[in-house]
Amino acid sequence: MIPIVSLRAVEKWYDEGAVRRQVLHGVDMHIHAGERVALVGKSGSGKSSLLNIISGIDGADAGTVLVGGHDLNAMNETARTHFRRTSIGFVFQFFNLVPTLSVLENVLLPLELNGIVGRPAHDRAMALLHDVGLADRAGTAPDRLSGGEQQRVAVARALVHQPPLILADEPTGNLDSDTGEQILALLTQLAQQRGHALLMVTHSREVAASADRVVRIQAGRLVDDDRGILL
Amino acid sequence: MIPILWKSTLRWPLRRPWQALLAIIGVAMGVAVVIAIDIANESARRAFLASTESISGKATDQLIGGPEGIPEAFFVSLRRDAGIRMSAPLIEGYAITTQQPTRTLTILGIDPFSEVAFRPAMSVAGTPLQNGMAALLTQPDSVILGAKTAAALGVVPGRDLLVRVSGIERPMRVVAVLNDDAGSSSALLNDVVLTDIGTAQRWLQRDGFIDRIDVILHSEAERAILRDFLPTGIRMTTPAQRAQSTTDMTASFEINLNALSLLAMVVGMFLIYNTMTFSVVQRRQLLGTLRCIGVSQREVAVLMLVEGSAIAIIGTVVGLGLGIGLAQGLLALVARTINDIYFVVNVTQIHIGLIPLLKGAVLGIVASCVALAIPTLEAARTPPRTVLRRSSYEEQMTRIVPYIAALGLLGIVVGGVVMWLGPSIWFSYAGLLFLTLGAAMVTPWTTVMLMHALRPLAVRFGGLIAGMAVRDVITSLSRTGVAIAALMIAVAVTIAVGLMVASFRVTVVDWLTTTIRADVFVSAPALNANRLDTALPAGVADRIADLPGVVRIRRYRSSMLPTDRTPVLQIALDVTSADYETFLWAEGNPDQIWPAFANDAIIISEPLALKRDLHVGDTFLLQTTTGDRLVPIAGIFYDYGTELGVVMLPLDRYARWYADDSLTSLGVFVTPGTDPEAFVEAVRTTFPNVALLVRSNAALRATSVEVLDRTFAITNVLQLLATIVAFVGILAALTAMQLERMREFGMLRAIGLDPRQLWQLILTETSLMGAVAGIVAVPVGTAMALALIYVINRISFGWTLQFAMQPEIYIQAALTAVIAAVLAGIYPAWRIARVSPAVALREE
Ligand SMILES: Nc1ncnc2c1ncn2[C@@H]1O[C@H](COP(=O)(O)OP(=O)(O)O)[C@@H](O)[C@H]1O
Ligand SMILES: [Mg+2]
Repeated sequence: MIPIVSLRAVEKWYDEGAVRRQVLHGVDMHIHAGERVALVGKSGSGKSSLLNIISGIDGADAGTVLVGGHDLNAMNETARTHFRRTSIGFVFQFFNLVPTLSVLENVLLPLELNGIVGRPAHDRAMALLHDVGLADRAGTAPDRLSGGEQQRVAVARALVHQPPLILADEPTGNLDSDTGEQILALLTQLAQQRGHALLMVTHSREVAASADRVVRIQAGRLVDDDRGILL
Repeated sequence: MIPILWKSTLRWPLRRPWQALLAIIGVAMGVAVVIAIDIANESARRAFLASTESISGKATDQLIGGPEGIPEAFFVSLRRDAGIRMSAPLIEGYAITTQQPTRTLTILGIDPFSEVAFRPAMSVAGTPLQNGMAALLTQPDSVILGAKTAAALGVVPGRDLLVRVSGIERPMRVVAVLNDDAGSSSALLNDVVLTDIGTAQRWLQRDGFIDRIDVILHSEAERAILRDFLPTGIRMTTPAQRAQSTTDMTASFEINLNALSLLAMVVGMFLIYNTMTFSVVQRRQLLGTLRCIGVSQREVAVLMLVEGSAIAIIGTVVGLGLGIGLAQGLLALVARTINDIYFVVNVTQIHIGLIPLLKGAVLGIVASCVALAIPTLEAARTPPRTVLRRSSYEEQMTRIVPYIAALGLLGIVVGGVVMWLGPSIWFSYAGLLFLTLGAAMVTPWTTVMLMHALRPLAVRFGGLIAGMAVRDVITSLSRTGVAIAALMIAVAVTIAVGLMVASFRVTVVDWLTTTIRADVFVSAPALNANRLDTALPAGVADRIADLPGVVRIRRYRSSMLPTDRTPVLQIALDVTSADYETFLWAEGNPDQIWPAFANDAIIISEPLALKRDLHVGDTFLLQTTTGDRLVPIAGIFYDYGTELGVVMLPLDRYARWYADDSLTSLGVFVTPGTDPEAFVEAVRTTFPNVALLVRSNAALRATSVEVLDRTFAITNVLQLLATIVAFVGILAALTAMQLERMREFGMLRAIGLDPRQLWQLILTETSLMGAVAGIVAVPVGTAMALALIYVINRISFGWTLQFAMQPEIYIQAALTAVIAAVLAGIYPAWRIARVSPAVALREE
C-alpha cells in the first residue's frame, strides 16, 4: 500500500537575521491512508514546521515530500494551493475561523472552493455541524462562540470536503485541557468514522493513546516511531 | 447568491465602514476638485461665448479698428461707397449698477435701423421690443432690458435704472422689457442693456467712434471686394476668431488650476493607497487562513480588486455629485479672476458638460486602480498563515525599506531631470509627480533612521514608555510608514503652495516698488483695476501738468493689441533718463536698449519673449492703424502685470503709427514735501465734472496687491481642500492603526500600565509620526516649491520669480503635521484607556 504521507530525509532551515538555524534534521516519516498519528514534542521542537511542510504551506530545504502521491517540492505555488484545497483539512491552534463569515459559511467555504455549491453543499455542511453538535448555531458569527465551540466548527470545516489527510496543530492551544481533549477526541472519532488519515499535534497522553501511533519529535529529529509508546 | 469566498472579504469593509468611507472620501474629493475646476472654467468660457454669440447674431464677419475703434464716418462710406448694405455698427461698454450687490451690465449701442438682418428677434413688429426701438431713437438715455435682467434688477418700463458708466453715475430710462415669451431675444439680452449708438457714445465718451461693424457676406467674392475696400487700420475678422483669441487668454490660468486640481487628485490617491494597504495589512490573518485552505493568489487579487473597484466607483460617483456642488462655489472665484485680469464675463450658473464628468470619472477610476495595484499585489502574496509571523513580516519590511528608499531617490532624480529637460508643461507635471512619489518612498527609511537616532534621547527624557513609543513606530513600519508618507505629502504640498504664493507676492511687491515711482496716478475709471485702456478726456494731461507742485508728468497710452495669437498689452509711454531705473532687464544692455528704443525699436516683457521664443534683435509684428510693421526688439524687461505679454513703445511713435493722441493714464511727480494725498484731492477738485480715477502711489500699489491676492483665492481654496482631505485621511489611518492594537494594549494594561500611561504611549507615538512627517516635508515641500516656482510657473506664465524663504510657512506646516497626528491619537487613546484589560485581551 502506498502511504499517503511519505517524507524522506527532510530538512528545514530558518533564516534569523544573519544566522541560519536548522529546525528539522533528516526527518523520515510515513502515514498510511486512514491512519491516525499523534505528534508529540516540546514547544519549539519543530512540530508546526513539519506540518507546514506536509501541507505544502512551506517548502522543505532538502529531502523528498510525497503527499497523496504528489511530490510537493516539484510543485509551484499554484499547484500547491490546489493540492491543499482538495487534499488537506486543517485545524489550527488559534484564529481558525474567518471572522467575516457565519459558522455555516465557514464550513461551506472549502466545499465552494472545490466547486460544490447549493443544496448538496448545504446538506453536507449541516450534517457535519450536526456531528460536532453545533447545528443550531449555524447562522452565528464565530466571535459569538466560545473557544471550544470555535474549534468544533474548525473540525467540521477540516472534514467537510473529505480530504484524505487532516492536519491538526495543537488545536487545544487556548482551551482548558478537558475541552481540548474533547475536541481531539471528536476529531479522532470523526476521522476514524470517515476513514481520513489524521496527523495531530497534542500534549495529552489520553489523546495520544487513542491514536494508532505516536511519533515523538525532539529538537528537529524524530526519535521514536513506535506504536503505543506513551509520553 | 454571492459565493462565500466573496462574502469573506467583502464583508470586511462592512465591518469597518468608516475605513471604507474614508477611502471613498479620498476618491470623491480628488474627483470633485478636478471636475469642479473643469466645470467652472468651462462655464465661464461658455457664458462668454454665448454672450458674444448672441451679440454678434447672424454676422458672418466683423470689422475692427485700432485702439480707438473705427471712425463713424467709415460706416457711412462702407454703405454708400462699397455698397455693403448688410452692415450694422456697434459699440460696447460696461455699466455697473449702483444697488448692492452690484451687477456688471454690457452696454450694447446699436443702430436700430440696421439691426433687422442681424438680430431679427429685435425687430418683430408689435413686440415691446419693436416699440422700444422707436423709443430708443426718440427718448434720451433710454434702454431696453431682457425680462430676466429686469426682474433681477427689479425695474419695470418707465422706471430709471441707476448705474455708473465710466465712473459717472447716471440714470438709464427703461423703455421696454422683453417678455420671456419673446424667446431667444430675451436670452440675448442677458445682462445686456440695449441702447442707441449715439447714447452709448455719449455715455462711454467715445464720440465719433464705434467699436466694430458687423457684416453679413454671402460669398468669397463679396469678401474679397470688402477686403480691397478696407483702409489700413481696419481689419476683417470673424466673430468666432475674435471670441477664440479672447478665451485663449485664460489658457495659462486654466492650466494652472488644472495642475492644482491634479495635485488634489494625487493626495486623494494617497488616501486610497493608504486605506487599501491598511486593510490588506489588517487582513493578513484572514487572507493567510484563506490561502491555507486553498484560495489561490489570483483569487485573492481578484477579491481585493473587486473591493477596491467598488470603493473607486462609489467614490467617483459621489465625487461627481460633490464636484458639481463645488463648481458652483468655485465659479464665483474663477469668474472674478477672469474679470480682474482677462475679460468681462457675467456668469452665475454652471454648465455641466459631459466631457468634464467623463474626464473626472475616468481619472478617479484610473487613479484608484494605480493606487490599488501595490496593496493588491501585497494581498495576493500573503503567505499561507503561520509561515510568516507578524514580527518577521515587519522585519522583512525593515529589510526592504532601504531598497524602497533607493528607488525613491531614483524617482526624485528622474523627476528632476524630466522637469529640467522636458519640453512642455506636461513633462514638468510628470516630473513633479515622480518627485512626490519618490519622496514618499524615501519616507519610511527616513522614519527608521530618525527613530534610531531618537530612541536614546526619548528613553533618557521620557522614560521607558517614550522608548516604547519610539520602538513601536519602527516595529509597525508596514503601517506607520504609509501613514507618515501620506501625511508628509499633504504637508509638503501645503509648504510648496505656501512658498509659491509667498514668492509671487514678494516678487510682485518688489516689482511694483521698482516700476511704480510717480507720486500720483491719474486714469480714466475702468471696470477693473488692471484694465487701464479707457482713454482720458482730452486736455486733462495739460491741466494737471499746470497744477502747482507738479515736477513732471509721465504719460501712458495702454491698449489691448490683437496679434496672430492671443492679444498683448501695448503700452505707449514717455521714457526719460529719469525713468530708466524703473526697468529691470531680463535680456539686453540698457546702454544699447534706450537709444534703439528712442529710434525705432520696441521693448517687450519676459512672458511674451518666453512664450514666443523672442530675443533681443528679433522682430515683432505690430498691427498698427497705419499698417503692419515688423519692429525690432531692443530689450526684454521683467514684468509681472500680465502673463499675456507687454509691448512698449515711445508715446510719440505710437501717436504716429496709430493716429491716436489720446492718453489712458498719467504718472505725476510732485515736488518733495507735497503730500500725495493732498495732491490727489487737488486733482479731484480741479475736475469736478470729469470722472477720473486718482490714486496715490501707495493706494495704487495696495490695489495691485489686492488683485494679486484675489487671484490666489482659488489656489488657497484648493490647497485647503487638499489639506482637509489629507487630514481626515491621516486621522482615520492612525486611529485604525491604534485600535487594531487593542490586544497589545490590553496586555500592557494587564501587566500594569495605567490608563494615563497608555495615553502617554499612544500620543507620544502619533506625535512622533507627525513630527517625522513634518521634518521630511520641509525639504520635500521646498523642492516642490522650487519646481513650481522655477519650472512650472516659468513655463506656464513666463515669470521669473524670486524665491521667498518664509520660516513661518515651515513652522505652520510642521505644526499642522504634529497637531493632525496628536488629534489622531486622541480617539484611540480614549477608547483604549477605557477598555478593561480583560476585554481587550479577549477581542479578536
Ligand atoms: N517563520 C519562522 N522563522 C524563523 N524561525 C522559525 C519560524 N517558524 C518557526 N521557527 C523556529 O523553528 C523552531 C521550531 O518551531 P515550530 O515548528 O513552530 O515548533 P513547535 O510547533 O514544535 O513549537 C523554533 O525554534 C522556532 O522558533
Ligand atoms: Mg507549534
